[in-house]
Amino acid sequence: MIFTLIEPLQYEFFIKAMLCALLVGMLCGVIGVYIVLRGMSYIGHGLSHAIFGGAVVSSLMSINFFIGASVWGFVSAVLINLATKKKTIGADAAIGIITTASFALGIAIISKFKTFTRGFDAALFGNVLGITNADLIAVIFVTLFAFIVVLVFYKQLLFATFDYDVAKYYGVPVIWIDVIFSMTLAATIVVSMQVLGVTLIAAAVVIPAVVSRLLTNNFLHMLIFSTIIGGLCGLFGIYLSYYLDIASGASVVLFSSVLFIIALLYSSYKGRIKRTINIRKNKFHL
Amino acid sequence: MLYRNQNDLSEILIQFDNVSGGYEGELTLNNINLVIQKGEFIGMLGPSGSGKTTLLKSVLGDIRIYSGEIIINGGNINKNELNIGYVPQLETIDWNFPITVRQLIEMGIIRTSKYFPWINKEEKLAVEAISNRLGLEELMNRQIRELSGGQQQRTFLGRALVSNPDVLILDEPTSGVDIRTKEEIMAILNSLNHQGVTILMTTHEINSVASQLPRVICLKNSIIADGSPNEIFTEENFYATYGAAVKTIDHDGSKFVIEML
Repeated sequence: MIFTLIEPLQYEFFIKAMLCALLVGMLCGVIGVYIVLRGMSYIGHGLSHAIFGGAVVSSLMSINFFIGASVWGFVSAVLINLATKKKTIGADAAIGIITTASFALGIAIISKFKTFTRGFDAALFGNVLGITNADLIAVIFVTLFAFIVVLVFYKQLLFATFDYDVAKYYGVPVIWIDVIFSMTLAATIVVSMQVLGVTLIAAAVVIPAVVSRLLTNNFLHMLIFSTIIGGLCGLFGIYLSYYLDIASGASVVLFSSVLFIIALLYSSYKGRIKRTINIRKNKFHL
Repeated sequence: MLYRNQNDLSEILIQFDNVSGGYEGELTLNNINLVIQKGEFIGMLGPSGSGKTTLLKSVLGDIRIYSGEIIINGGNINKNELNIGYVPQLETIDWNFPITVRQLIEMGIIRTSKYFPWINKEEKLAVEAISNRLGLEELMNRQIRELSGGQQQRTFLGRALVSNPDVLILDEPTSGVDIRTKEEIMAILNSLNHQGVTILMTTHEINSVASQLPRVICLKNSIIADGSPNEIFTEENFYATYGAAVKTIDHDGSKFVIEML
């Protein structure tokens, strides 16, 4: 029994994959809190598609994937942020237009130069078991960077997320905070692509944050819970994928979805208990 | 209840000198001349689009000034250095945001402590002090949605006041609340003003709020009238401000307005 459980741990590539998934899960978890609370849940999905376009263009121009895709992602994130501020366009429409156009560009180039189609399977569907040392270093670097950003700009990010317009009246440099956040988000999506794939990143960004929101009404707790839940989803998702023999990205997302259902049931149950207590209290007071 | 100013009003805090301004080329404020003394309690009346919020935002430095100037503390300090406590309209707040009363009040510290991620002991004490002053000490760990209307407004006042602002600016603080909450909010503002806080607020409520204030400004892109309600609540001024006929009546030493529908 124990041997069965530790069996995958004898493979170096699997340990590397687990470490990578743990870090990516934590990274998506912490960034996801700001995404969900800004009402931009779709951005993870959209930005990963946009970055796919950037990845294709950087491959065509023989530029390093991480550099090309990150710059492309950063520009897309800034454009989305700017378009979102324009009140006549909703955030969903802004994300939809900018990211789909970028994805379409990637597809157009692939269909034109069919030679590098194969290499992009991993970007589309994720290939955590094929993670290289360079990928792992990139994940470690971006995770550290993101946590430093969240720690150093904790107050500014919270204020700008809660009330963007008022934050500037209190001296928060909202434009710079947006730029730093867009940079962190773009880097997060780029390094997560190798693990989860373009098609599954959105869930990894959104689900841990939503699960945490269902569990707490406190921002700091939400940030901590989301990071832990994201990390656990990455870790157990990869572990389960070994036994169930399914794609690792899908396994991570399915595991997160199960946690979401449990949190939803728990939150409804807790809400019902609270309502019952309130009704009893009111009866008592009457 | 009539709110009377008990502060020494001898120091000019903000002065509008022929100010014209607005957003994106639109002229929302036209030739504004206005002096706000330290310790005043001022309400601004006017129809929607009359420039009330724009005037507040001009003090916050968020509109384009086309001509004239806004002088702060007699020109001694830059507008950006004026410590302003701003309370937005509560209707614009995302009440589902997972934030507690304590976390919201702590946000107000950001102006004085920009460079450190966490608040220090002194700032913690300031948060405790303001929460005690506003009667929020028992509610500090509650999420903002779990509060009554009055408690919510007090929490936002706490955020605005925690860094000891030079002026408190409120955008329709009594909008959308019941009579009791309105009374509670106005009593708190009056008490803060008696403690020396300068208050500038907008309101749509002529009888229940504006008529009780020591000074009211009627605005319709430019200043129509400025003075105590007893001085400026005239049928002519209201017609010029709102373009609607009203009747004014005296009751218990205050002037009130009856709409002629």
